[in-house]
Amino acid sequence: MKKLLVLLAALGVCVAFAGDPNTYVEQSFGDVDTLDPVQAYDSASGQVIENVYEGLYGYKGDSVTEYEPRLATSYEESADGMTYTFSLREGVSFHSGNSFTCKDVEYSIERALVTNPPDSGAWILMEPLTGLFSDATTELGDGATDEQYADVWSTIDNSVVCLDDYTVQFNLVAPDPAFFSKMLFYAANIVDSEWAKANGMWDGTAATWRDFIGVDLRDYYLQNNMSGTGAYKLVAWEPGIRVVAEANADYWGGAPSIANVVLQQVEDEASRIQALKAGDADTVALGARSSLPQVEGQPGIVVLDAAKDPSLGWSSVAVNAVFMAQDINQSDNTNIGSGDLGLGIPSDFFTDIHVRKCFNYAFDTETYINDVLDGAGEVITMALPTSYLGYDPNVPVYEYDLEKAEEECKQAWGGRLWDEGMYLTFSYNTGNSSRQAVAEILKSNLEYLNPKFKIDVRGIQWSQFLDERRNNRLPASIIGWIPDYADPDNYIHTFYATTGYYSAQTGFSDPEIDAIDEQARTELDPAKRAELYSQLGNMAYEKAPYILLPQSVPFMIMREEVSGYYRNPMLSGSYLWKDLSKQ
Amino acid sequence: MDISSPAVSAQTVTPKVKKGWWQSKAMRRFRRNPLGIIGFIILLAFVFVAIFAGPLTSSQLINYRNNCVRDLGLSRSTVTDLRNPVKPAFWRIIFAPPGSCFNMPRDGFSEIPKPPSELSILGTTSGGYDIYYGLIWGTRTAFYGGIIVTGFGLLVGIIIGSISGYFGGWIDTLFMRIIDVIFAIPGLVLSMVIVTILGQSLRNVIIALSIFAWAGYARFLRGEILRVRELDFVDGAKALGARSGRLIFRHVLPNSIGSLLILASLDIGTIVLGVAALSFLGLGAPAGYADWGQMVNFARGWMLGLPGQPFAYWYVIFWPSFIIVLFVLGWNLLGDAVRDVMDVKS
Amino acid sequence: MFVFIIRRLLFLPVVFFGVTIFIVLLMQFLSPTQRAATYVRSEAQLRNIDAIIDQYGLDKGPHVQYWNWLKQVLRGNWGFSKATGEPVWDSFKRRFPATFELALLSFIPTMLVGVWLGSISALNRDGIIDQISRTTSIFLWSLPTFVLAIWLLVIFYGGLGWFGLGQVTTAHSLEIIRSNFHRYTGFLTLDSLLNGRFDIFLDVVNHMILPIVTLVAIQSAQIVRIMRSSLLDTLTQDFVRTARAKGLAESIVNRKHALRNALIPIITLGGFTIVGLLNGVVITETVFAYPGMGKWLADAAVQLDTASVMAGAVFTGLLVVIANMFADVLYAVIDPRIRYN
Repeated sequence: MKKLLVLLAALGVCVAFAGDPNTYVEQSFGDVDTLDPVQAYDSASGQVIENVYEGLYGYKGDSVTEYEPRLATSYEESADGMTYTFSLREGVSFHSGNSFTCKDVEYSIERALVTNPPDSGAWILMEPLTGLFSDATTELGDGATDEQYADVWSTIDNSVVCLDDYTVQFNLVAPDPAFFSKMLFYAANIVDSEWAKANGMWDGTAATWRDFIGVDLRDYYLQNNMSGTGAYKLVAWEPGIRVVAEANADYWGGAPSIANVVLQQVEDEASRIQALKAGDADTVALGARSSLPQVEGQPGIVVLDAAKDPSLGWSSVAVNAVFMAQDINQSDNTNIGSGDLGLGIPSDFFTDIHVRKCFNYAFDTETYINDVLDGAGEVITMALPTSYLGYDPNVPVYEYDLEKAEEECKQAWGGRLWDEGMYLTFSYNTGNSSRQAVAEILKSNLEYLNPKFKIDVRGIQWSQFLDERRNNRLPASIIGWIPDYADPDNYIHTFYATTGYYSAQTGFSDPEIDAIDEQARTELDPAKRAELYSQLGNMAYEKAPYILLPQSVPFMIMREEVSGYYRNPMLSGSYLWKDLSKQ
Repeated sequence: MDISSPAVSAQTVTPKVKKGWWQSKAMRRFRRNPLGIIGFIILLAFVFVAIFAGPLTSSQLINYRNNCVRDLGLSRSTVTDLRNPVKPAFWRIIFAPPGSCFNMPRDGFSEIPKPPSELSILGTTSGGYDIYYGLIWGTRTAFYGGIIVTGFGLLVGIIIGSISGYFGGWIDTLFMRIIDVIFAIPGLVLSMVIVTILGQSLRNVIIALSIFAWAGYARFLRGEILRVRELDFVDGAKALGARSGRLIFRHVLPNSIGSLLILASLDIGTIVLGVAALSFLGLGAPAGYADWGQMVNFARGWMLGLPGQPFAYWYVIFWPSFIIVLFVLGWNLLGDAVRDVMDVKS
Repeated sequence: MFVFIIRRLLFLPVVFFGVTIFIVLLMQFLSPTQRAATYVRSEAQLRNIDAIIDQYGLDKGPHVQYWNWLKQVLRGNWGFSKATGEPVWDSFKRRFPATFELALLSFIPTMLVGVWLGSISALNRDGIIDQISRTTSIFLWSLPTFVLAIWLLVIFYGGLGWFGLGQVTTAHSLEIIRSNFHRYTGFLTLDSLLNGRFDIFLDVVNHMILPIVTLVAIQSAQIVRIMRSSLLDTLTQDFVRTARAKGLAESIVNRKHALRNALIPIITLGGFTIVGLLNGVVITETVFAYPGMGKWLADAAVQLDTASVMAGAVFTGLLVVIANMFADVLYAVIDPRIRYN
């Protein structure tokens, strides 16, 4: 046994990995799903894609409102907002060696429109360029004629047109103030068309486009191979283990400073923290702020925390809210008890504004910030990140006030709610402890108001959670939204318009809000749009369709050897690797 | 199959549960084995804790906001009934506690553990859950899981084992092939799939583990039946006109089931390890349910303490892992002693 | 003997169909939407859920789904692993060698330590060595794998920093990926030696030590117990008594007669130890971030990645059947009383 220990010790000493200035190592827990920019719709995949592929424009440093040219050099927007013309950068080549021209732009965007896989983010481009949402087959339905398909093809074909080798024109079906921001989403990144066609991807012609409608791009070559123009080239992707990239010495903007980038997947947070301390990783993902004390003040580790240093100016772009369904599916639904006040709730329980206000007042923001957000949280006034155009900090909010909550609940349902009581189930997807805490905070306060109020908190599997919410079986649950593109429409429409993704599910509908939303969607003047959104925010306060949860305050940890990083909330990885350097 | 399945270790079992058992040779041998006695005492203590979980946690139930008190129909003024054996609530929480009593009460929602205080005498684990409460009620969870899984496994095992051994032929072949398949698949991965599909709850964990629990018992019993059939006295009985069915039910089953019961009950420790492993992988009881495996999982992020204070959160990992090991150790010490006694040939 | 092996091999298809049909039937507990949700990572992706259901035929009956899967497999395509994002077969090729190395390097010490401790325990029955070895093995057997693994992680990785996490250090992983390091076999221990990179070999071994110690500590405990009781059993049997009566030295009796016979049940147990190890690697690989099959299958199970789970279950099933077959053959070789016909 003793011998064994000596041997173990001897083996152990020789392998400490000293920080290598040529290699940047990041450890996180997310699975990379795909390396195809059209298929990808998650931040782990996005982080690799945004460093290997490039769009026509990109965010400038940490700004979400300023842009810098990448594969384009300039652009022009027509006065009616219907066409965008980009001049392209000359002399750029892909990692495969092919040179970049307009045909690659045309191919890349049309590939997104043609394939538009159902679980991808390609709809973001589909809407402004074709007026459709899903892929052609889904949109046209069964029994569609060849002519109908030909129509869709001609829309797609006409949406991106090469005027010459270095000028491309986009034709929109309607004015869209968000179009430019949508083009910054990685689905609009430019792939190497010759290389893609040579490797079994769609050949870009009308003859074969129907074979690629709605396909799963994970089955194709671009799933795990990349040829972009970015500052880094893919070396290897070992799914579930690591992604390795190396500097592109021929990058048009000059070769980046760090030669190798390694993204490692380590599920266990304790292991990640250990690796950071040991210098085996330059940065690691932390699940929550509560783990910060374990790395703060450690030699060699820099912690940037917007809660302690407001001058960083960082804010979260995630919006979380409690969803109150106004048309609950009643059939065989134990979540609403008996289906009537007393031992349950009626299916239209939340249509009563007093119920919604009562729930809003009963939510203890301070406990949420202290316990769930670990002491650092920011109250938001509307379902829009504070850094976005149109966010108005002066819109009133519901502050935690049990007396007002009691007042509202007494008025609800003509006083019946207070006299007869209620029972409902609050669901969260298991593993999400902050959603669970929200449910328990509300439960505890509402039950305190009136002993006849009974609420059960229930954790269910993610798949069941989505299924039940989609079928309107959940009276109340917590939802979250992160941006696809940096435009307020991506939030406001989603949360407040009758046809918005979340509002359609809650059954919230208000014609006045809809009118303002429609107006803002096509208004091209930013100042007027901001005014409209502020107006909308005030109206939404009155209607209280959601309980808006405070946002977390961002932080970042990094080994002190690394410099050049910043935090751009629109980038999946916060910063581009090409801007980093290491001593 | 794991070691505690009787098929491996019980081939030579000859139970002697007769009169004067305390003075019997087996019992005397058992009493000489200090480890077995220690195991027995540990288990007795756990049984006591499980039965009196309610009264043992009455001060937590009184001081935290919780649904258990609500579902027992107690108000803030009558909550002290829990300490009073003449009140019905005292007995109700012992014999028929509402499901909500298994939820650990929370002191806030913070992920950061809190050290022991007057309210939480062993501290709170990540998420503000009271450690003491979780340990006490977790004992019930452990017994429930262990007893139901073994009970179900035994029931199905006895039925299938006797059918297989009695009828033989293609039924026997079919069952034995199914058992072979069960032995051949990685139980943990498939249990994970089952729990993911059925949803996270203690009930579904029990279902998942039960699906794999019966196979060993069935095979053991079938083997016993076949073995007895070959014996001379059976031939003799047959010659005297006894039917083999009668023989099995009158002579084989009572004997084999006795040893099967003893051996299966000792598997409870192993079953609890299975429950804990699923909980650790995030697939056990729902968050907040009093369950030791989950408490170890909660502790995972806090084991390393803080810079300069490596033991800052020692209580978070120490208590649940200590209790799991103690519980399983109790079963295994007892089990080892019992097997040792039963293995002895007179 | 030959017929026996053939009969055992004929059992392989039974395992194959038994396991896969069971999993497909299990999936029927989910609604088509829930099945579609397993393809989805964020709520935004649900916008198009009907198209997802359609694309993968998730609303079709179980027989259609099973037939589709079977057709694929017959063509050599094991489907696409959602958990890793590559074809199942690629994941398998990438991860199987790592787990195989780990399991093999755990299996051998498990058996050796178990047999050794079990026999000295039995030969010193009720003596101090017996008490210590029994108590230790019972204690280890009572430890949940994850508790032991986490404590080892905290002490030897977090505290002392002797061992690394994963399979190799980052620096070596870069070399393996990029330089002219040939993956002759896929097994890193072998490949590093074949490439003449002793430093990488040491590094790989270093990363395997904590998982191996965890697995051996827990798995060998049961071998100790069986070995002890098996040897005690043989020591009381007639042929041993006869040998003793003949005047043979005690040590020769023990070694030549008793030990050899006592090993017989251990051989059968070897097959089950493999199952135990395969279960064990699920936990150890998760804790030590070791990129093998166990971690992959655990992820796949939680994400309901049926293609991976089916392939994994089929594979481990076949492995166990074959391992048991070898055990049976070995059994016949050691124990002359057994003849397979």
